[in-house]
Amino acid sequence: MSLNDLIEILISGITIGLVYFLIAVGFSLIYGVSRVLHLSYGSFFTWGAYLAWIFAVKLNFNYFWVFVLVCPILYIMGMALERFVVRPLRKRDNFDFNVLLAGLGVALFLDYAAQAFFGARTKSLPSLLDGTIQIHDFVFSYQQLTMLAAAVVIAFALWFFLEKTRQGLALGAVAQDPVGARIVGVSLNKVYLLTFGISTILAGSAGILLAPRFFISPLGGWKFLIKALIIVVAGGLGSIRGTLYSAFLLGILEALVGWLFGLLWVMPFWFLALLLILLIKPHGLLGSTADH
Amino acid sequence: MLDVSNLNTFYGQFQALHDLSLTVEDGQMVALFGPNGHGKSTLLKTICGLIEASSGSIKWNNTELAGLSSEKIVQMGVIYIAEDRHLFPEMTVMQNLKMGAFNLSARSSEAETLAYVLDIFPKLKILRNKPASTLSGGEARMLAIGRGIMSKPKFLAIDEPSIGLSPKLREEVFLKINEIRQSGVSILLVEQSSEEVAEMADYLYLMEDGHIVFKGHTNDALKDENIKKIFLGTG
Repeated sequence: MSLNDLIEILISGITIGLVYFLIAVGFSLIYGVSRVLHLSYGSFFTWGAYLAWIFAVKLNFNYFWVFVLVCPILYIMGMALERFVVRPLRKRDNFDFNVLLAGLGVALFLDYAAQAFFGARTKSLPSLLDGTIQIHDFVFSYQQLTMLAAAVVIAFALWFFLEKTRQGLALGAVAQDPVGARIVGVSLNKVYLLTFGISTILAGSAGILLAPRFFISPLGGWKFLIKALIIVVAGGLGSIRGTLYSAFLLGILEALVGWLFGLLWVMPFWFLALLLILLIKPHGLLGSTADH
Repeated sequence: MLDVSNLNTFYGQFQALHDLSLTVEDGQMVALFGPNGHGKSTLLKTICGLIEASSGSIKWNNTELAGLSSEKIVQMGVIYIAEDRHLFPEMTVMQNLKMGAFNLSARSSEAETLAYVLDIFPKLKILRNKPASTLSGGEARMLAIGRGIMSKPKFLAIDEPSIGLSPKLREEVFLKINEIRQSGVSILLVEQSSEEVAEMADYLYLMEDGHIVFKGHTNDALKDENIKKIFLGTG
């Protein structure tokens, strides 16, 4: 492996890692704010890609308009899930377990609906942008660069929302102390709605960004649910910074393993990395030692 | 004016408040004393909508609060300052204060309120970029009170503000609360017992097992040696 190979692996790993971060952070937000382990999360990843396929392939919109149109739909889907599935269960006993089962049910429903509408055969999305660019010895595809740029923009928008806006801070407030949040007049239900909406946008837009690279299939989201779970646990449940580090780490690992042995070996190595991290740090890279 | 009448609150089967009535006139400071675990905090939480009342009424300037969400109650200026503070540990002091002004009626005057809070608690200005989890007990108490003021209270329900503080800090916190009262905020203050609070308050209540067992004007109450002993915790 030459130095140039290594640099290419690093860049490719950071790019994919950032997209994985978007997927994982959405999953982590839902868990942190509403304490729901969201098992249908992967299906929204899939639906983001399918909705993009409708607009990009069937209706011939460019990617800018695809995002503008798909994001609100995802937002509404996420809020509907919270309002009509999660909230009724939250008022009842045995919420933690029942919401897991309900999540599985919703995932099955969404996956089979995708199969009914779009068929079982895989679909593909065109590149975000065609062409390549050469910088010194390196050749980058515009596809990769636009993916990186889009992921940076989304991650920055998320950071700005969570740290600099009052509604974003309210998400953190509910995650850190729900009673404290009620004391300052935050409505838990409104924050849950907002969180599900935003997280669904994160899952779905990651689905759009990755679709030109992987194929879209009705059950394709499960792999990304598992990836999100691994990243979040490795980073430390509830720590956004930990999620970022572990997404980069695992993204680079993916690029490295892909280069050395082929993409088939990525998931076994991810689990190996997770086990190693948990052996050294049982709460993940930046996880707090205190349970909520 | 806050007017609580015939209030009953349950935790499951256990009745925490029995047919409880209490009044706080505008601009008054009312102190509610009583031993631990006898329902004082429950009363404050019920007023502020954090616990649901089973029956009875809580009128704030003729609006019924019982049954309203805590969000609406906060918006009307009825604010709770918790004994266990409930700060946001990972947020900075400034972010905690900003969250205090979350409700719509507090937002428009946020800048002035912030200046006022930093004026009465200058320490918070120095600590502004520290995460709340790193504050000492006294600092966290001041932040909790400061965050409460950021919510633009007309009525403050303050739960044992002196708990865990040194005598010097206790006195400082009570002085600040008195300052807030003088700015026109009505206050219902809960303590187990406290001479300073008894002397600051206009009106005193004593609570046992979820019942009000004594109420009276401060001057009358403190004249009576038996009552005085109970209030000052020496009885």
